[in-house]
Amino acid sequence: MDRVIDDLIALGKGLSITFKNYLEKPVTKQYPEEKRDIPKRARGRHVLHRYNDGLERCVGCLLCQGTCPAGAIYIEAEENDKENPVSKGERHAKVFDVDLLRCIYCGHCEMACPTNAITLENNTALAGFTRESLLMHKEDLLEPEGSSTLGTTEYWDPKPPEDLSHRVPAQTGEFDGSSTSAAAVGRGDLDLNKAPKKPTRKEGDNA
Amino acid sequence: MADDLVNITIDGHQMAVPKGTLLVEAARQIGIEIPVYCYHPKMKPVGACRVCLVEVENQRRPMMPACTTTVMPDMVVHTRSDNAVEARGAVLEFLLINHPLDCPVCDRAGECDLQDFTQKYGNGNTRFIEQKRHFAKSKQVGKNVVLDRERCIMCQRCVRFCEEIAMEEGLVIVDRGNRSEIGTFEGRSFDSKFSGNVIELCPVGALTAKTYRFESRPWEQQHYAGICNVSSLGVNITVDVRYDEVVRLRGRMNDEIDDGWLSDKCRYSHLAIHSDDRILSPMVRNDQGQLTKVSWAAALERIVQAFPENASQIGLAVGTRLSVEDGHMLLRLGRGLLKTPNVVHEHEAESLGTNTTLTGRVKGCDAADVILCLGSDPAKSHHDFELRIKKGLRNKARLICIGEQPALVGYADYQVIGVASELWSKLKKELKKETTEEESGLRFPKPRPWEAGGETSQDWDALVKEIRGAENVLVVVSGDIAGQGLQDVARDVEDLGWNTAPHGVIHLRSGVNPVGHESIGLIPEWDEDGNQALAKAWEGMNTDSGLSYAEMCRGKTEMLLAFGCNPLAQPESKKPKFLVQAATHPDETTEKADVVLPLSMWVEYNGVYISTDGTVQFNRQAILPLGEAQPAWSIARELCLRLGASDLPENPRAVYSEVGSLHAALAGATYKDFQTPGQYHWSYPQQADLGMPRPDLSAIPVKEPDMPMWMPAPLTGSTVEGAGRLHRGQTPPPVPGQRDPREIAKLLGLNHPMDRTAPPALTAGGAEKKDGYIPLRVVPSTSAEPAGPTPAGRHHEIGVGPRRRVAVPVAQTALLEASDAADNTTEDGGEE
Ligand code: SF4
Ligand code: SF4
Ligand code: SF4
Ligand code: FES
Repeated sequence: MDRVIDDLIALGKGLSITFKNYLEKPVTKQYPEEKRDIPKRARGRHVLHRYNDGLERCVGCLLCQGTCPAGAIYIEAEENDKENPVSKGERHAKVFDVDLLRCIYCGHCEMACPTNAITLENNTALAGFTRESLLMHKEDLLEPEGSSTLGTTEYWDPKPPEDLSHRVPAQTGEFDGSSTSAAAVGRGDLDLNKAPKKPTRKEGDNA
Repeated sequence: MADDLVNITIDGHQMAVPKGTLLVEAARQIGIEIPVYCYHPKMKPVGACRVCLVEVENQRRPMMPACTTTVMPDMVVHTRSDNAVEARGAVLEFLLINHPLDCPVCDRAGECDLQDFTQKYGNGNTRFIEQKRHFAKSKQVGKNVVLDRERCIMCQRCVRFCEEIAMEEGLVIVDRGNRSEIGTFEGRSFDSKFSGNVIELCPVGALTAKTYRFESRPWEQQHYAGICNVSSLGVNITVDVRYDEVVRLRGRMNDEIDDGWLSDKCRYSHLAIHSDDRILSPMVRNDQGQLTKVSWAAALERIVQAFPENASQIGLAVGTRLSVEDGHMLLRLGRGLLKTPNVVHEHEAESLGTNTTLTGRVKGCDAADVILCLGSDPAKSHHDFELRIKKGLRNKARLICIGEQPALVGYADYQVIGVASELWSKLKKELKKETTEEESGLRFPKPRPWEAGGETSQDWDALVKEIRGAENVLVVVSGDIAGQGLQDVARDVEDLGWNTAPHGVIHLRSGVNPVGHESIGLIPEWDEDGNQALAKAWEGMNTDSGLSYAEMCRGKTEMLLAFGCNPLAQPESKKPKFLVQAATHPDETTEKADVVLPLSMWVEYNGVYISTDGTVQFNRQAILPLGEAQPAWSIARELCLRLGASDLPENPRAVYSEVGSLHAALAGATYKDFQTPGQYHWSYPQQADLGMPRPDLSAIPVKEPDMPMWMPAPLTGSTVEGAGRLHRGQTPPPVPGQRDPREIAKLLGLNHPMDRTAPPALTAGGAEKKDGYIPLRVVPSTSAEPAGPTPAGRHHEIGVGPRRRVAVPVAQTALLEASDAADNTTEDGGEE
């Protein structure tokens, strides 16, 4: 008799879980109509950032290409025209291709970047009909003119202690000539534009 | 123990080294690295940078610079003691105080001694928070040299190179103290023939090459051991390749030939490889007189049909930039199959005949007492040889220039201007005269012409006396010596008893590989006795004497095939009835040729080259042939096949083995020869590695290290680097048995990114190109329209938000056409 009661209790316990889930709302998302919240630091497609004055942050140093374990990045660097620079300093990337099919979204490229120019953003909806459509060129990766964001780097790093800040790459949209940012772009005789021409940075314009 | 060895102890290792050895060298012999900046094994030590400090026991001052300290008996040296480590770290900290550390934009990053040594020996932190010294960034100091003064660490290697090695005015130190910087004399440009060497010498990124600025990073390069294809000296180079493109050439140390230096003429010769005017596909002249592109099969067919009945009406002219293998296959085509006697190389007129043995070597300059330049100026045609002569001058040699032209002005101790052949016979007579006079009374110290205050002497008697007193005489003749009336110089020198290698006569030949071509018989006279093996192997070959190159240029044959040479640029040249040229770049001959074939350049295939002093050297393939270009041996092979030959060697290795089995001059030669050092130079440590230890703890004093054959990853596409990436600008090698992805893309009507195409055109979205910016190729999400016909009317979008991008879909029509196109290809595709 005891055994029968024990069995019934066990059965009741098991079924209670079934019924509990039966009454709950489903967790399945009806993608793509319904979108899931993505963690802020999720690594999706790459974005190349700009300074507030519109110049590109990327100096074409090829460090991301060098560190990329998948060989997904191809860069050709070029000298800046002094009158009409593309980036700060002497050097910029003429060609910047990321092959999203090769990329394993490890994020090493953003770690390697000395100017915080490349970040992996929350855009994870990546698919295409042809291989070519998933080969991103610089035009596709660069954030639009007029926008200058820092991307997910903002969520990555805690603020450094004051006395060490000169050794940590500056988390601003300005080129301030600090020893770290100047080291990345080669300050030379560059003018430091202390006052930004147009503060265009918008919060949350990362996607 | 021999008297000239001293015992020392370095880091606990006991060793015996010759007296006078520097501590850095002694340490390197047992594989202990002492970092150096200013020290360079080919220049005098100065002790300017102090990074080489080591601790020496029982000295009044315990820290000694290893690069200026010579070994003393029973010295005990520590390179890794606490004191040494601390001193080194301190020196590096000082060097970094004013260093911009802009490695991300610095061309040297990745191969920079300052980076490497700071990583290894530096303090890992900086205490300097003040403002650094800043200069305007790049400053062009010469045509090819760009200087970044911020990065200079004042090691003075560049200044010393100009002063000591090139012995000419060049870079100098401007200002003193902490304001010193490298520069040129006010208003002058640093345009030496050897300026490129300072770029390689500079341990940091202060001096960079105009042609290489921001081109590439060392970690993405493959390095190949090559041979210079500009002069006949056989200067050793390193070919640096990025994504199948040669980005720079560097010197490669070969003590026998180049001493590690490289002249600008060779250093920048790679620019021609990827130049826009390269001939990249076969062309045939049509009825309107225009060259039109055709397939290889069609071009070769045209040539085969044009061969005249009378074989002696065919001429084959071979350029000397081609390898021995090329020459051999062309000889097979000409003498062996076409049975024409006219197979010569373009500089055969300079040949002294195969019976003359010249004993002079390039390295003979070093120990010569007298370097006698006869006739034309060797420094003009062979830049790298000038540095070798100067090395001789610094050692002990007197330079005597006799000839029509003022040769090496300012360096010659004696100079006589006149007709070289007359002066030579006069000199020869006087030297042969018995004399009782005391010889060589002239070696009293007086300033040499190239030292301040010295003068070039025109004193004939003093000159004769000088030569008489000399033990080792190196006679330098160059170019067409018969034209200068000096054809007997080798015999005369033998009479005078000077021909003991490496001294005697050195004949600096024009072109690159004339000696190689001569040793396999590409000269008008055929040596029947010496080539028995060949006659047996190639039954019925032509063994008559043929026309000379000059005669061929004058249109003496009905048909002329010029491989890598330019016969119509010769004086009195005339186009023959049918002219075929295989060329890399268009020239006078291309303008008139009936068939033009694309020829590979030297870095595009393996080959053997013989330098002017007889050194046999191997040049390794570094990149794939561009476009449809083919090496000459392969073109010759194709033509041989069409003439009914079979059993032909299939690659350069096999061709060279055949050379070894058939030609007496190169008997037994195979590619295996190049695995051992010796006469066959192969892989020497690169200049960039000079600061690094060679781990060889066994042999003291160090023997020639045994270098295994250096085999960089083959270009097969199976390596990670070579695997089929979707990179613009990269050309992956075709995998045998598989269709080239580019071809498939073309069939599908796709603009395949692996083709070298212009950057993609801007699509909709209203983005305009503003100065300095590359606009976005963004299609606003609201107006997203598919750009072209799409299967089932669907298009696909990548990305969300404002940066949405419309993918260009595959049109179904393209797929239809593809199958048609595929059929067409198979119809006329077969080349053989
Ligand atoms: S995320 Fe990783 S794999 Fe992708 S491009 Fe960056 S480094 Fe390469
Ligand atoms: S010279 Fe060396 S340390 Fe200096 S910026 Fe260039 S790579 Fe960096
Ligand atoms: S430019 Fe280079 S080689 Fe010349 S002194 Fe400066 S660091 Fe040395
Ligand atoms: S002081 Fe010795 S290497 Fe510079």
